[in-house]
Amino acid sequence: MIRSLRLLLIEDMEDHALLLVRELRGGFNVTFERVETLQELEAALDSHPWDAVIADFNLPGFNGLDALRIMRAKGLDLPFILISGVIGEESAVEAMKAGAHDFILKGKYSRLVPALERELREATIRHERRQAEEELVKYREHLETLVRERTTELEKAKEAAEAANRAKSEFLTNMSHEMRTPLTGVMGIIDLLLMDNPPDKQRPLLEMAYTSAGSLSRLIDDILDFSRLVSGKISFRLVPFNLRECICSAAEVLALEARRKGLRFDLEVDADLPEKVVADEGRLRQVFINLIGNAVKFTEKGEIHVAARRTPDPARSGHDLIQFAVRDTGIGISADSHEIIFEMFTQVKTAEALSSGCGLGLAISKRIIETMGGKIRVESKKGTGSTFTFTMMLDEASRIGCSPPISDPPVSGAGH
Amino acid sequence: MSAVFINESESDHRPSEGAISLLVAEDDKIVRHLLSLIIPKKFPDTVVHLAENGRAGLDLFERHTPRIVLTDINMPVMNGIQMSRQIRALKPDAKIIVLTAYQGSEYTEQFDEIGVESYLAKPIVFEKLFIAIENCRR
Repeated sequence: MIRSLRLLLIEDMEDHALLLVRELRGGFNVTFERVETLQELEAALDSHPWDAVIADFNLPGFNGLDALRIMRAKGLDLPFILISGVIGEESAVEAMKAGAHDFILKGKYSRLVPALERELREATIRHERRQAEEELVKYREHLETLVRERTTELEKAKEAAEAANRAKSEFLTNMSHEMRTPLTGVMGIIDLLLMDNPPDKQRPLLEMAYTSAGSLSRLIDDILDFSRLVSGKISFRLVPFNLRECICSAAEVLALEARRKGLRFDLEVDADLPEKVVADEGRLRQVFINLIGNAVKFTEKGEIHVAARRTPDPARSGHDLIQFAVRDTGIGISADSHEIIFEMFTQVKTAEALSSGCGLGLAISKRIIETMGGKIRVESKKGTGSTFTFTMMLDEASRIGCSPPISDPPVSGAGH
Repeated sequence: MSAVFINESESDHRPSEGAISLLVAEDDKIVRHLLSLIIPKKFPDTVVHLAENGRAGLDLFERHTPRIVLTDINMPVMNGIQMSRQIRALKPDAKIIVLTAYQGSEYTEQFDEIGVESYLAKPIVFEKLFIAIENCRR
């Protein structure tokens, strides 16, 4: 197949031009225009698309290098072949540097067709490569735009999520406030009725109503507390405090309750525990009260054993953790509920967990312990009791200026 | 509109000469009523003035100069903080007890600045309320 060739000839001698075209017609179906001056060249370049340019090196008004400059200025990358009768090596090199693709001696046209074919092929390749590069640039720009858009979207989504979170916290705060006021009415009126010496039949009912209202009140507190813990709104106050006193004071009230139920209550605090530790004492006490409170609540006979001891930290050799254990001989928890009990409402699926009435206490305790860098787990068998164990990295307060640890024996049998 | 309750439902307990006057500012009608019943029950020599907001509370305070003020925080027209601040300006030794439904509230800072006797969490545990009032009576 003979391909068509739109050729621009820069040549002042018409017979030379015709000779050249005749030669080219051996390989191409040539249409051409011949120009002699810079003006003509510019006009021709502007008016039609061209496949190639062949230029005489020496023209009266300008030379091939000028032609190359003009083409480059117009952003044209066409196969450009110089023809010259007297081209020296220097001029040839200069011309090639300026962007000419080949040069051919005047009259030696046998090389013309294959040279042009090659140049056309290369021009096509150059063109395709440029297109690919342009596409790549476009694609990259598109990607950058996309990333920018996505980033903006994500930022918006993040802001929306934060706003929703704030709204949720506000809602919970307001809701718990709104609920507490009517609850004051309910509890107050029951209290008032109890103060008025109600008939014997009514007293226990009123007391039950009061207990229920009290549970509701604590639940409201827990919901608010849990939501604040989850949203990270609560900061832990890390201050040095006496660990032994904290454990004992938390256990004291609950030991009384255990005794009322006829349970044995043992508290064992190892003597080698640091006297003063740095943590959030209030939060730690909250965990103790929750765990010991549950033990008392779910145990009808037998004993409750609370222990605190030093144990090596498996993650940091040379460091110790403090391990707390609350053991009871209560109703126990079946194995499939061991994980569930630490989660919130939505995860409470089993009837057992539902009826346990744990509320949010364990979910809150787990959150507190984990925030303080500890872990909690439960070992339990249905019907034989449970042991809740948790560890904590309690930073030991500097012993400088501290008295040595109290060495009184573990409080034992407080329930008897 | 402010309701004034002067311990008349208990006809056998007319406030004596040395009666202690107490102001309750609380926008919840039932809680207000409840307090008007339960406080004289525990302290028969107490006269309770009831206000449904801080503005009404301030008016009653100016009229009766009660020794003890029991106030809610969130109330329409004038809240408990604004009322307490003005009461404190009128009577530097007024005893103020704050009823709060907010846990660990940011309001405590403002009340600490004003200076209050105690905070009571809602729902109110009456034993604690009685102790708080008792402390103010001393």
